[in-house]
Amino acid sequence: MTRSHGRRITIAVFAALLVAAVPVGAALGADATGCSGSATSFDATGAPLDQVSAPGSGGTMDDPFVVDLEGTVAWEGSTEVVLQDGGWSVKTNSVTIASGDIGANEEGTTAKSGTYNTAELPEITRYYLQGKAIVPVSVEMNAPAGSCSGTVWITADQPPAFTPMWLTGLALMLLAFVLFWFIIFRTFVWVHPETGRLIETEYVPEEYGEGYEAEHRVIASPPPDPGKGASS
Amino acid sequence: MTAQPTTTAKPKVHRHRVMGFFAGLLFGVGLVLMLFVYGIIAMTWVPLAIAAGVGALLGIVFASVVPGRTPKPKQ
Repeated sequence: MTRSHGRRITIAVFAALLVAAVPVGAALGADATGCSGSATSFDATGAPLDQVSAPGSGGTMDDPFVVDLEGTVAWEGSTEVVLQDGGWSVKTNSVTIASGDIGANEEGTTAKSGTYNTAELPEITRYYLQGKAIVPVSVEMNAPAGSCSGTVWITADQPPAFTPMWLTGLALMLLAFVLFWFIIFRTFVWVHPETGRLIETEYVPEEYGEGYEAEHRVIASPPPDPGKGASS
Repeated sequence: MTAQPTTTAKPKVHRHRVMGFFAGLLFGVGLVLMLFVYGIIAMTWVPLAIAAGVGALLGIVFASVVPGRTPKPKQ
């Protein structure tokens, strides 16, 4: 196998795996069980950006709900049953970013609405929402009378270049290429021309080093076995 | 001095498999981060875990099969 052949295979396998992962994610859309809701996002100037309904349209991986990280989101939601004395949580990639108690709810309220300032998003969510990243946000409410859960895919739809995640990805790939380069150019087969011994040392010993460029030394350390292979 | 080996012993090649593991791991994670930030794939743990695992495995395989080089003699 040649060097370029091996690299092409690596990239091809990666691409195949990642392309295969896309339809799996696309099947996951905005959903809601035991409740329903809708939201409209606005940018920093107050202009409307996007709408989502769960269950319903928008908020899928193919058509994520666009939010402005310095804007607002007007939302309303209702549950099928009166939820009392339970808890709620909001998760991003299985990481809980907000949670709390539902409370006694003595009025028996099943519907609520409000406006959320996206500047108040947790740091981890803001980190996820770099560039055009598509992030799942799940809401869960649990109470003795029933439960509610839903998932919406959101994105900030910003230019990806030079964001921290973009720079991190680029740096990791460049570092990987340096290591691959090292592997390719520092993998040696070396047999001493006079002794016939296989030389695998971390440095070039004086007695063996003559006749070889210092930069072509072999990196390994088993001592040569005089009983095998060596002619002297 | 000639650089031709005079032995019949099968030459061994020192392999950088540990380095291959880390190279593949870093490449896989870096590639997935780029795909995340460009919105090509959704940001979940599954593709990240797959790319890291498969990348590390392919890195080891790559380091195991890459042809060894022979040192150049001094002229």
